Amino acid sequence: MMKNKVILGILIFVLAILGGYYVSLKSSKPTLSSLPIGGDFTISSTKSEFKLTDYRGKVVILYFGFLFCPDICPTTLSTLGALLKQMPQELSQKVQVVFISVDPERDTMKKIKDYVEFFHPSMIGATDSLDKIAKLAKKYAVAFEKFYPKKGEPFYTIDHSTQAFIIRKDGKVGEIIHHGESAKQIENKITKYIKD
Amino acid sequence: MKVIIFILISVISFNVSAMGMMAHNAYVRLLPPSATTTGAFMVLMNHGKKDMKLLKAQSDVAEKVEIHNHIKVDGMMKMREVESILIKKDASVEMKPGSYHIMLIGLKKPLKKDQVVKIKLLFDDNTSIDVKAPVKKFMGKKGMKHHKH
Repeated sequence: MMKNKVILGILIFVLAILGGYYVSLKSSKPTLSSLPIGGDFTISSTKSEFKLTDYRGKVVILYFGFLFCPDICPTTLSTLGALLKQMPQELSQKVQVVFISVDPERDTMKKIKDYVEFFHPSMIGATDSLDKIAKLAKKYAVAFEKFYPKKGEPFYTIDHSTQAFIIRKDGKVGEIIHHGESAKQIENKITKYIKD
Repeated sequence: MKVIIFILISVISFNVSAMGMMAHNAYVRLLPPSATTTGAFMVLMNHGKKDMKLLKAQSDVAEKVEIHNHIKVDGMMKMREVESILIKKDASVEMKPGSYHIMLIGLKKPLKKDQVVKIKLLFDDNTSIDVKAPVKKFMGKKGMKHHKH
């Protein structure tokens, strides 16, 4: 009886070590560890309410930014616009770009609509209460923070993460698009998710 | 020979100062009217006899004009005003998306495509140059012309 308990104890010990080793191996793979949890969400948008669950079967490119952003956001949105234009239509129809403004104080829905449609008419813009956006951004590991360049002046800019996310047809995050990637690079990345 | 070339370049290019600072490929990014801030980009080449610092930019099209840079910290892009940009003698600095740029904050009127925006650049030796930057639609990374030196 005692012997059995010892063997069981050793067995549990060995399994625990092996299990720990396996977990550490898995998490050391950059593609697994660097992807955010993501997940479904609903948000007010330029085309009524945007529900990620409505886009099963489509590939969604999700990007957080703000209209005041004079450089990073328009560069990314221009690149995504160029991507949609250069892709064969049968593929681009299966892609939905969604831009979420993290600056609801300044960015009204009308302004957001004018803004995103300038880059491509099919793009959807979205925003919501700051609290809701903050929770959503957290799920996608996106950081943003107000910065007041001159003390005492109300004018602010927003420091923000610059990556966009490829969301697979099943709603899970597939891959990250880093700032500065070209339309061609993104096309190479996204095509496999469309054909999946 | 060098002198002749220099004089020729000076005559041809209107974006040149007496001290040898030149601006190339200047443009302002066209954005939709709902965006009241945009950026101006260009390559500054210093053909002068000494290092120069760009201290200030001025333009009538915006309420405020500032010189900015981007710094990436922990994956976050932070845009910050800079005091100056050093352009070393016989060297150039590219103001480009994601890097140095001139911020046109609070556009008085929405800019139109191909409109020419006048920007005055002031340097630390009290010289200035007037740059004429056309408003262009930036077509993402694919459509961008890279200027190499």
